[in-house]
Amino acid sequence: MTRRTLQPGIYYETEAIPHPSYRLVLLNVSEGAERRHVREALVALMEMLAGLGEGRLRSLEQQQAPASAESLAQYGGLDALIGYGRRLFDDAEHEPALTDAARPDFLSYLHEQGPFPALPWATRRRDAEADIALQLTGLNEAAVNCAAIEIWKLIRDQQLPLSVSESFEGYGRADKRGWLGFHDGVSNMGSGERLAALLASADPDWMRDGTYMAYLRIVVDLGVWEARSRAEQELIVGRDKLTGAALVAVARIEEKLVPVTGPAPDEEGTLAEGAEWRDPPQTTDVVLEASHIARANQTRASPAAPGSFRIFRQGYDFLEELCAEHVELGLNFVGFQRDLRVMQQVLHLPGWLGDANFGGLGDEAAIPLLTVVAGGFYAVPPNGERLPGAGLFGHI
Amino acid sequence: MPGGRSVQDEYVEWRLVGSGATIMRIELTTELPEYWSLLAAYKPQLLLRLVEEFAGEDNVSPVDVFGREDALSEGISPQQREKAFSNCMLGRGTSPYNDGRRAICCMRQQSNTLAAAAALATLACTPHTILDGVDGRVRAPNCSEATSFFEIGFAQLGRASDPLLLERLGRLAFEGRVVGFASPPGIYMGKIQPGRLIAPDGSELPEESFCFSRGRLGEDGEGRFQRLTFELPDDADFAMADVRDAATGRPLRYGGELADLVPISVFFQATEPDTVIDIPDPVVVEGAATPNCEEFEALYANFERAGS
Repeated sequence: MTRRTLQPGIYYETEAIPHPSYRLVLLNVSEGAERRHVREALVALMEMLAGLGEGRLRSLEQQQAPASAESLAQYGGLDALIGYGRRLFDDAEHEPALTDAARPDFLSYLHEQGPFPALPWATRRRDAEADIALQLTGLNEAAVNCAAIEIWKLIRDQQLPLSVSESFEGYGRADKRGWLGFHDGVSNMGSGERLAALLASADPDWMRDGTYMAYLRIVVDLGVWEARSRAEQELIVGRDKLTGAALVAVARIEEKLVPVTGPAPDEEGTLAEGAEWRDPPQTTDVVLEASHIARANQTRASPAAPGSFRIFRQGYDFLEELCAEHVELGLNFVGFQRDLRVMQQVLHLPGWLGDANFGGLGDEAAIPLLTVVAGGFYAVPPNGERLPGAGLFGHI
Repeated sequence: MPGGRSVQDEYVEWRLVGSGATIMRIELTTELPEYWSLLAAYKPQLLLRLVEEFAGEDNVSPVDVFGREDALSEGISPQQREKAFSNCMLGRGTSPYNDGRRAICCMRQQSNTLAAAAALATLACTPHTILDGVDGRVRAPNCSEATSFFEIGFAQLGRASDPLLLERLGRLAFEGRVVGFASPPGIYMGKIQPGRLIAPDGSELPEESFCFSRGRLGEDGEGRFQRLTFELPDDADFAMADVRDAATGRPLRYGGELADLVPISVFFQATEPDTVIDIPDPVVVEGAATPNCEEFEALYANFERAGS
């Protein structure tokens, strides 16, 4: 299997830890732009971002050590990933057309009337459908924010045929929990399985050994969530809130459902305890089968199996607004997969997440906990020397 | 298939009815060939009426369904009639009434039988216990492990059905439950993924576009139907060519794309846990629980080196 064809910014390798700071910069191509000018503009942007990662800034080209070391400390480790959205292939948006390359089948716009059956649009929407997505991940917030502004400045200074259409920020948490208060990403795939879930096929050929990115900015209604008891929350999630251990059973006591957890591993815990803690349980209880982690992990099939529907998730939380009357917060769901069909099946299939807003059985499955404020799908071609996906814009 | 899949091997078969590249109707069936064989043997007139109904024709000739003119005569035994039907309509039979040219009546592919489903379920429900060589857990087999209990090719991870059946039934068996088909046994359809097929204005298609038949709604609210006809109602102000899959933004091109949107169900009944107490000793499984291609390639490379 081909290795290292994936662009930087997908932290799939053993021991790789995702950079904690995230910013997505979305770009649209200017009206009437020619392909070669677009390609040259993107090459310039990617080279500028690569330079930033090495501590080189356009505006400080003459700086010497120790100042250059300070710049390296600021931007060092910055990863930039480029993806191409449905809009780039939309001839109705571009005259002349930007590419003759085939559009991957499932690289589509999210449905205007609701992105997924049980996951509706938020009342106030933002637009994350663009020609181009640049994912910036770095070691600190200043790195990704300053890099985003460097993109904006380069476009302005060199009058590149691009414009920033939107931008979204996020951050990782050291405690590995999300806004729901539970551990998040615990049952992500083992590192040995990830490439099988990530690498795209050669349909179309230009995507061979690339991957696809699904971006959803999901708002969490904390009021709805916190109106539920800890036990109710645990049954919806499928994990113990304190330890993160997967629930192993549900006890029925005086008509109440009581979550039952396995032991959480401590430093001396066995591998078996660790596996029990991490993996969704091999349950046959209908309540646990309806939990979020069980819905998203129906079998332990290899990610290469067509029906396994595994997604490598790399999410970042956000806090958008906070005032006395209102708080808007949530998750930048960033999922990478070999085919966007996987994402569509997971979020449409009944029994998976096609009939549950997040998890749970019956009425609990319909609680209005999550809404999508913005979203878009992007093809992430394999890493190239200067510009991944350069061939989209014709031969160099 | 969209997404580059070259294989779609599931418990459902279909046909497209149209003119040239224009799709007018898509029919899916999960009817079992064993049932139709019994109809052929003992209720041949009823079978012929069903064929006529599915083909939209009057007076379908017995020759086209049984391969012989005397199929309905008293001199033919039920067994002879069943065999004649099987030769004509199932497997490699050439009848136009079950190969999609004039109709599709029941499944005919060799793996799409009750016998195959029962064999899969039987072995999946036979208790197996795994001692995980990696982490030391004693647990039910996952689908990758359970596949190895079968002869090569019988259960395939590449299907959507086999891994799910193997793993979920294996868990029931691991808990010491006795499992059996809910009556009547069958392969069923009952719903279609919501939100996928949309009209030109983005709205969901009218409900009457999807006609489920040959079955009933179960007491649990789940559909147990064996036939689905997808066709726009007469008063629709758009054509099938205008229907799009919201996930691709493109019109339907293949029956397999519709089949992809229809969950296929088999219903089972199970006893309480610990009904079976004679659970076999664990099988030790070393290495990764879910091997992937990379590991297979490495093993194959070792094999080649060892042999050279």
